[in-house]
Amino acid sequence: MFWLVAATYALVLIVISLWASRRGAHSQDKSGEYYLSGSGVGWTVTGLTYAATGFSASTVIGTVGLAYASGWAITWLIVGAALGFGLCFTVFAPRIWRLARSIKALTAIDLIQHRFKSRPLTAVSSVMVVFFFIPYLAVQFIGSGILFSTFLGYPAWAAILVFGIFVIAYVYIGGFRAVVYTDAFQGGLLLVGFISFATLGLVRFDFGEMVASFEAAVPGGATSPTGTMTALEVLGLTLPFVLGYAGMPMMITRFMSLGSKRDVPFAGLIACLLAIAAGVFMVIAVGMAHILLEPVEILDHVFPLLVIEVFPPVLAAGFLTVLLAAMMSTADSILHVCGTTLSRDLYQRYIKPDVTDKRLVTVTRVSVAIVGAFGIGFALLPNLPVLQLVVQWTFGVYASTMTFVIIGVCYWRRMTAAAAMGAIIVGAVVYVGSNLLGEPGVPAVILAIACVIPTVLLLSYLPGMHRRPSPPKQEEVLELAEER
Amino acid sequence: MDVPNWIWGGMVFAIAIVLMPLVGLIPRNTPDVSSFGEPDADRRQRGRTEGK
Repeated sequence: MFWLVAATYALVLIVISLWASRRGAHSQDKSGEYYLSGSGVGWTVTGLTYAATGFSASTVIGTVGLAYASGWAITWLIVGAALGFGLCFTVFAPRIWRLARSIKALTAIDLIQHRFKSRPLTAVSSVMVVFFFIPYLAVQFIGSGILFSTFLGYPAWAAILVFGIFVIAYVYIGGFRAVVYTDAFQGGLLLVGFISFATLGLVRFDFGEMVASFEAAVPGGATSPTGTMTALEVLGLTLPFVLGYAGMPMMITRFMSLGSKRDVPFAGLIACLLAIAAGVFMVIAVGMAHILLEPVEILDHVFPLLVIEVFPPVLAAGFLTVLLAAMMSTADSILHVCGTTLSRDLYQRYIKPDVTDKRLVTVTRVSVAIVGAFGIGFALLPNLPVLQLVVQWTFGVYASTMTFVIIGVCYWRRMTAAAAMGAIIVGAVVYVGSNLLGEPGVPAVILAIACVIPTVLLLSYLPGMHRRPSPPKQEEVLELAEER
Repeated sequence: MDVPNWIWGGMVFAIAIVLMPLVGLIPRNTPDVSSFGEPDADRRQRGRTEGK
């Protein structure tokens, strides 16, 4: 049964990506098409694709598992993500949209290069994008492994390989248009899935019953707003999601590809709505898990087991597909953004500036395949940590590094390239270091941000940090003289 | 239904978040940020040639 549903689903995705590549074939601007699908995406599609990209395997599988053990308070993390979406659409999207149009930017790194005009900064940001996204990509592949092994009993590695190669193939063929439209389709699927699951849970079970069985299993799990954690721990879990999205290149390109600036609020509304639906879904799902399931040992298995328990096979297969959608929509966006970063921001900028448009697209496709292969390799490593942990790290790193750079791009005229570089280095080192060494009382993300802010301020406002306009070159002086 | 108070609070917060992007509907001009980071002299020059 599952195979029928999955095959139909795969077919839909293949049709979308073939359509995308055919549409792109007529376009004159090959790279503009492959990178941003010609910048004419509507608001419904943008909203859905934004949320679907922002939510991943971990959102559904990981957080449900965590909440099962630590209380409904984990839902703050989803509320934090919704707040992050809202902030991005209200604060950053209009400016990024306008900037991207006026300088004809294709990637988020283009914006950074234009703003700071610093080649080292551009190089460091590009490397950072690819380096920190590969584990995040691997998480999506691992998610598929977990899903297939708990539901169907297939070995995880086989699932990872099939899933990985499938995603790589459709990004390779269809480019940004395929990514955006398949994501929008998957976002729609997620929305329907979340709402129907929550409705079903509320119809079948009394909310009071959920509270009672949750409390019996995890004291404080339902009644305390921080669950079994302290308020500071909850903040440490939530903050990366509130601030992380703003700095993520694949989220930024969603704004850049939007057809009109007037569509920004509506796209944001859709994205936030989907995020809140996810939060409601999570509360209900975890409540149901405590009523229906015997105590579960491996937290990442809670949601798949719940689906098997609740639904008849047809619907269970449908829900499995919804989960696949969450992972696939994130995986394809990461692949696309890593591919474009490697090709445009590193290859074209540093190795071969005079590359032809057609060749650039080919290089991008090859980069997509290489990054995908790395992701699969990483996913096949034994003994990886819980899904949610890796995701938490990725968002934490972005929240304490790239978000500051983007603030500089959109709002902060005085910020210098040195300050942006300082934010990236200090943020990444403190965040990763504090996670590796064990957190000294405060969550890593708060510690990192507390170190980044003074660094950025110092490097922007210390006398001598602001670059003086360089003296005009000899040719320019001559030109000026001629004009006179 | 026996719903813990903090969940009601969370839901009110959630609805506020959903409505947040609509702030963007308030008509106002988004400043052109493409001149950010340029030395002041250049910016003034550009402002003079591109100003409306």
